[in-house]
Amino acid sequence: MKKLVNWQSFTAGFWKENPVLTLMLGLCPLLAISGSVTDSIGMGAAFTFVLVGSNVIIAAIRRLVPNQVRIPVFITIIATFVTITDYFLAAFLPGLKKNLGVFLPLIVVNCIVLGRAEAFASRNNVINSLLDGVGMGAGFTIVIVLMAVIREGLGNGTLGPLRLFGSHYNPFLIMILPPGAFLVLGFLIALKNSLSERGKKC
Amino acid sequence: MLNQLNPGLIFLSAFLVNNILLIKFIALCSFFGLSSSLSASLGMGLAVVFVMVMSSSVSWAVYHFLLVPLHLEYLRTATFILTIASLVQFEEIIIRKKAPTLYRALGIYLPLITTNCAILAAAFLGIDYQFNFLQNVVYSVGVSGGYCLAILLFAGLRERVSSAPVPSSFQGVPIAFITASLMSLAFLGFKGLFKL
Amino acid sequence: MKKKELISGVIILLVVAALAGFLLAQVYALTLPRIEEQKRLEAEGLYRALFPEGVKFEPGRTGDLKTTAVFDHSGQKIGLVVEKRVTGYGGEMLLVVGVSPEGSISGVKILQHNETPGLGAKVAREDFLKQFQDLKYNEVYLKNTTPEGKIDAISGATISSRAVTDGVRKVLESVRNQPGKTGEEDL
Repeated sequence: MKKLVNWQSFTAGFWKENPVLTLMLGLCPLLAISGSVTDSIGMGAAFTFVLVGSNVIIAAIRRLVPNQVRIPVFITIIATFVTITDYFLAAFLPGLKKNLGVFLPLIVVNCIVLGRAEAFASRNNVINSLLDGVGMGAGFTIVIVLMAVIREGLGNGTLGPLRLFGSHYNPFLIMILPPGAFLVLGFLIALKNSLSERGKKC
Repeated sequence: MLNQLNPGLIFLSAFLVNNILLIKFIALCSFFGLSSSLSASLGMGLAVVFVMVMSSSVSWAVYHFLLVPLHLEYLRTATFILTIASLVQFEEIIIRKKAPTLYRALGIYLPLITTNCAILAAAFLGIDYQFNFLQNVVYSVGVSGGYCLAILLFAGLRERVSSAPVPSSFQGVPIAFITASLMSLAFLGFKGLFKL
Repeated sequence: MKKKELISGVIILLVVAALAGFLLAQVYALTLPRIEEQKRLEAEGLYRALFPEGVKFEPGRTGDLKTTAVFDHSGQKIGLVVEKRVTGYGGEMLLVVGVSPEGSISGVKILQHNETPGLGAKVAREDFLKQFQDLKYNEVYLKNTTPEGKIDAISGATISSRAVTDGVRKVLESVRNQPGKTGEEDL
């Protein structure tokens, strides 16, 4: 029988089933936003909010929703949370909203959010779904911030408001540009693969 | 901004300079998951062109003729995605009836497109750039064309890479990313096109 | 059985959609005043960056350029903020130029651009833009184009630098051609 509170739901999102490095989901915002540490933290937070919120609501009503309409219902719920985040940011953190750009509304079709709703929240109770949301959100945030630290640190010599190296530092420009994003992620996944001796595809 | 350029430049910008996959990073899940075979990529690419042009146009119409007059702009995220989901369902039914060979060729890619980030992104960007209807159509053709181009190029490269000696931890996805990185670098070279 | 399921499914969907719509309408109404405020603050912050004593702002047009007249607390016009779009290396750039009543440049800011980070993007930095301050019309050229040109281009980013310089000069031209608007004399 399923446990009421399954802490594994929480820890899985960090490593074993890390949404980005293992499951290979949710790549779009990852590559686009990881050029800046502050934006990445914001993106991770927004993403986790949507994931946790939709996971909880979907888990709560999972017995009420008939099979045929479940995808539109899930999408509506996710879209609602995304819109809430959108307007909340517009009102209180407009700078972040501007930097996130189109990737904020794109959270709606983010493979991770829809995937977790379908694979987990619709089959598990509210508490575990909440843990799953937090775990997956944390896993995503850790990766995106790590990438940002590498990309912004090497590509710009800064980490948010901190200057890393002196002003004579000639930045490794490619890191900030699109190719650098692909490169860093490729190496991160290779690193994780060699660490866990496993390689899987989405 | 972009909406003051002529249609040719709008197309070029969407197709190459701001290629949706390699420069804007949208729709990557489908990019990496599918492009191991050229024929699958072609199928997906064509499906995307078809769906994107239609859904961008319908979303544009819904926004400008329904949401804006009723001051319901805040419903745009939900409306767009539901429009796309419904359109895909609808198109699936029609194609299955009217063009069964096309339906078989597209296979599972047609329903999968609902979660293709590029479709939703193109709908949003069409509104953000304040295009008129015609510009929006040109834009969606450019974006989906660029997607098609990138995905085909990538599939070709990956077929080549799969027969090359690659260290074990790099095999599969990591080397794919590094390949994509080099492709992206190449596409960056298109940036200066505007000055022509 | 299936039909009943379908009907209850549609009902659930409608209920969810209605609830969602209602919730969103509330969120929208709640955040709207704050959002408007943010927009206003951002615009005013920009005007004040170019004219620190500005308190009142009046939108207008000069030719086909969007302008905002800036007034200080005594009601006197202290300048004009002009928006200009130019084509840079990577696409369109949005410049904002502050023109004083005497016709000199009080400042230049770049709001949007698509230039290459680390190269063309450097034109958005203060150390490049402050070169424009107080320049006369015939000095707004890159150093190696005319003998009176005073602007140092960013090395490796000549196209971006030239785009900005030409844009600022065109703003001065447009403003100049409206005598009496800013009260400045012919240079």
